[in-house]
Amino acid sequence: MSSRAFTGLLRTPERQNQSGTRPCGSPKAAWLLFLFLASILFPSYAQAESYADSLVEKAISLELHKSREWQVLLHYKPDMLGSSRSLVDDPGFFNSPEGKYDSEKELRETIRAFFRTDSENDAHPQCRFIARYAWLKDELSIDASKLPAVDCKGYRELYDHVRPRRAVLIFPVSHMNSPASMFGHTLLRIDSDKESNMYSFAVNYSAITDETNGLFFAAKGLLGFYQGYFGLLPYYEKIKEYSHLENRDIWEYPLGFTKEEVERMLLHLWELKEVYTYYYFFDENCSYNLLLVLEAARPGVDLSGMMPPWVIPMDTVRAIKETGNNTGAAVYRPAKASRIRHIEGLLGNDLRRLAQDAAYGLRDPDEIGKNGDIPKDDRARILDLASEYLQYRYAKRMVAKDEYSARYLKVLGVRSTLGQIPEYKITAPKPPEEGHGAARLSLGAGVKAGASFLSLKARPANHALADPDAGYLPGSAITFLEGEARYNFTEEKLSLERFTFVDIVSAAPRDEFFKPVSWRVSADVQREEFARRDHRTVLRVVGGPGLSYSAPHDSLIYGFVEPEAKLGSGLDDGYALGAGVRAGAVANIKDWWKAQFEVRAATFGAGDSHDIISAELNQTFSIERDRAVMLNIKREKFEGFYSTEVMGYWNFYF
Amino acid sequence: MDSLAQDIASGSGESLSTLAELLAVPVENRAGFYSRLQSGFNEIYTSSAVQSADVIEGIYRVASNS
Repeated sequence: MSSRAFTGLLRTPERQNQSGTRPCGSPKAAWLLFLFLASILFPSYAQAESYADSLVEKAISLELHKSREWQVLLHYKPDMLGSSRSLVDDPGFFNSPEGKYDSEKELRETIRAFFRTDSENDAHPQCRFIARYAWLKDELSIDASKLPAVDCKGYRELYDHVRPRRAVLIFPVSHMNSPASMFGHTLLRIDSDKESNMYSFAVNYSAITDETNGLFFAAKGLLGFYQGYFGLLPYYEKIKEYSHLENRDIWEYPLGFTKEEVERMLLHLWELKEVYTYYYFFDENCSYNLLLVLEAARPGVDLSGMMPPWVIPMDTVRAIKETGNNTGAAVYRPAKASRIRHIEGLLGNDLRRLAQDAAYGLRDPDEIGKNGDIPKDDRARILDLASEYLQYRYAKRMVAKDEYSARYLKVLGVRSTLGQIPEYKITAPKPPEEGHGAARLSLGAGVKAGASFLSLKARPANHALADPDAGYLPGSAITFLEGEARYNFTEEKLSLERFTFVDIVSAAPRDEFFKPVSWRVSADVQREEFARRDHRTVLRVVGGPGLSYSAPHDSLIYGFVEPEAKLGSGLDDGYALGAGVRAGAVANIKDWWKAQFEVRAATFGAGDSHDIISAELNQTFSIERDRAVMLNIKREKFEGFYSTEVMGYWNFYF
Repeated sequence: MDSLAQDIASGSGESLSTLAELLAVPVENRAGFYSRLQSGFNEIYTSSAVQSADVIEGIYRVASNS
């Protein structure tokens, strides 16, 4: 409306009023005049008001706030008291101040917000809450011409950039030696029509933190100390992070989403842009939040509802498989380290040494390239190994940039003269979803020092060194909250044998190329038999560094040095401080047969002074994916008390 | 960048096929494209101080020399 037209309209009623056709005192006339004035002064406003009202009414009469779509768009979940609340914590995500707890109010205010005139374009609620707008527009057949016109430029540009067509669930496996990522991670990838997915976009939910200590991160994460945000970044950045820096293999599971569903996902992600949710390590974590995004894209499927109270990334993969949302075979993307190990395996010891020399700058790559004694393909492999290893060392900051760049190009220059060789075919391990379930229930019976007992063990997560390896990272084990109760027939007594808060083993094998330090840590309450039929309950914290090596027949040997502390009223002075050594081997004798042999010696000086020496053999026989039989034999000398314990368990994983 | 150099030197790899797609090299010409780049490696990566722009230019130059 031009200003002239506006002033013109303003004058007309004045003149009418002055002309005195109607007395001013009549309330009816004044009311009519007001309506008249209002309708010419704010025509769109009045109409908009009534249009907004009618839309709100329609939405409420259709009970849209109870619909699945509205519930998933706003992340509403039933809480423990039977009412519902949104899991999103950022007030900016809601249009109503009570939106977090009241889906109806939020619906009303959202519709009204679409009519607002105090913001425009990207900042306008039509753009800001673009997924809600798109859905309500369809449901209510909203006539957009009656709403303020906005241009959602930000979203439009994002859309043109991403060109969403397909979605893929990405699962980087657990990170050896990092407790915060011991369960792996999940993210999404949105693919365009391009064949290559390096330029696809990765959707990642993570806690914002500058905490570099993995243990503190995990601890704070348990308590919801962090705010979690969704982020969108090029997939190659994530490949670099996982595959090159952290050496984690990546599994990619194509989701059978239609173009429309993937677009809906992008709309929803736009709403979650810069919106925080308190991050909880166990339940409201990356995996859980991704499920909510998948539900927003495909509201018909309930993924988060099938989750246990704790969600580990692997459960996400299982959930999309079980609900038929994964279509097509998983793609295995080996980490740098897996590639290096593969090429290592193709070369003998001497040739491997040459590659290492070239990577360390001890040997001219040219000399290797021209060495006629070595078959040409092997020369190419040596140089491939050298360049991979150089990249690995550079990523780990074990070599300076200048030195790296010069040497890297030199190696590649020579490599380029050797032509193409058959592609490296890195055999994929069993995919993670084919591994055993993380929760375990064990029923068993045994005999110790002549006393027989029944045993019941249970844990929610995740994998012990003696569990079948398929689908898990060999040598890496983490147990949370495992309890064991025993009924002893000789003592006629039921007791808590052990409660493990946490037990982590990271036995990362070393070789000429990789030199990781292994470590283990565990905290538990244990009922220890310190003399025949004499027990005391102690709280134990034990852990320390170690070294591990791969050995033939798919086995791993390891050794650890472990300071140990015990607390308990049964101990002299109530505590014991000591140290021990532990050494052993784990071997996968057959696909279905795993054996672990371990010896341990510990001595306690301060507080309660005592010595323990033990040797044990644990064998696991896999019956099927989620069933295994375990047979354990342990011989122990606890000060002067010698005992032999034999146990058999039937393990159920789920 | 480093992955692309590695792929060019070995004549295969994901970065290289991504590059071919970005440059709209028809599928049937890709094998030739890869081996041309491989033999032209030292012309593309002239020194360790080479910049991305130089690399792209080098790739164009080498690829069009058929």
